[in-house]
Amino acid sequence: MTFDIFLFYLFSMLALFSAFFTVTSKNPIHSVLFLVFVFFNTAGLLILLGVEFLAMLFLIVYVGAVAVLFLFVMMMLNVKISESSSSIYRYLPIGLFLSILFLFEIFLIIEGDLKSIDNVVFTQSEYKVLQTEFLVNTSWINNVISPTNVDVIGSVLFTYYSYFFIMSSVILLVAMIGAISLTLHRRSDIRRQDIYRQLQRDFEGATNLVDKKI
Amino acid sequence: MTIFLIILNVVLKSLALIVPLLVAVAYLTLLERKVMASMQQRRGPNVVGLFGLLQPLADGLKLLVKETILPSSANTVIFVMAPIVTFLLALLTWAVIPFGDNMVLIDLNVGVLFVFAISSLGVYGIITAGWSSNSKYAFLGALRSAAQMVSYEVSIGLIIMCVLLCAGSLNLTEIVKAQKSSVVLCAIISVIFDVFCIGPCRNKSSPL
Repeated sequence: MTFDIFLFYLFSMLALFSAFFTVTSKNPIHSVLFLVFVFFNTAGLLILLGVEFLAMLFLIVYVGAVAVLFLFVMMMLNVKISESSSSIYRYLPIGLFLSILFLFEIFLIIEGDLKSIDNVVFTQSEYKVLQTEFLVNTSWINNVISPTNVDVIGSVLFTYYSYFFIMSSVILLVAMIGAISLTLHRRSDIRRQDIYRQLQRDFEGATNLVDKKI
Repeated sequence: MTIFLIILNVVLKSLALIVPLLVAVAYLTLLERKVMASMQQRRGPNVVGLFGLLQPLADGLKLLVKETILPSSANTVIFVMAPIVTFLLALLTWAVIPFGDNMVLIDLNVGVLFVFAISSLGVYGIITAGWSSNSKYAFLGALRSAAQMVSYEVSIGLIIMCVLLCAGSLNLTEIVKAQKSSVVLCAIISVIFDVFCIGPCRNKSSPL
């Protein structure tokens, strides 16, 4: 119990610190690496919550794909040092406004959906009360069968939320088609590799004798 | 005290996993060199020890006593961190591999996804190593191999999905147990060819 709370504080503290350094560090590459570290710690928090499937997806999608692309772009642009710190203060008001808005939304969700953090760190007597409640109000079928994360998410996703699932896949498909069509258009003024023509060439067509009189 | 015992338990288990693993890897490199040498009608390493059996240890010793060079224009922290990250991630995958009944370090419910996630993190070691040395050629090579790793990730994910669908679980132990029925075995055999094609590309080594 205490070890869980220790891990929770460790992960959230590291996430907060590295998020801070993401914003403040001069080198954009360091920023991206700190962002990766934020993702890592968030995945750790998700594992602590017991949703290891989502944590692994988080690692695969955000750390394995999205942040790698960030890193690619940052390194290709070759921005050594971002502009001096005076211009940071220019964006301070709007950043502050957005972050306060976001924090407000998070607190709204915590009030509405989740239990607040006070319920997690309960004392010994409260723990006994909770335990008796646990004995009375637990659906024992769930405890006996103990479905895994993937089972639960899959059974919900493919039944109740199937429309949303299909919708998100269509959105991804549209994005993919957009990315392909951006690179597909041909210009006549540049020489391109034409694999069909390359394969069509044979020895007779490729070499010819030139009658060159000196 | 119990915390200490738990930590000791974890450390001993990890050591029991890592040490044989590293020795096996060292001798697999010797095997590779011997086989490649015999394919090219050479002898291969045969000086150190009997039939060159001590060659991996000599190589390891050489790596340890080599002079550490930190380029002055390099980004020191990332330059030091990159090989550590690569090595750590390579070892981390083995934590969920089952060696026998109950012979697994962590019995994760999402073991396959864990392996997949960790192997997708391997890109970071390479790309940071290429960037941090502040050399254009190293950086271009790193970009090339990182692009290769990222692009083969999708196909290897699809291949893994075949096995998952047949086994019906993400737990590696469950997948091993599911091989009792021959259906899974057939699926895996059909998948082996794909893995054979993609694996070398993904690990950036030539297939001999």
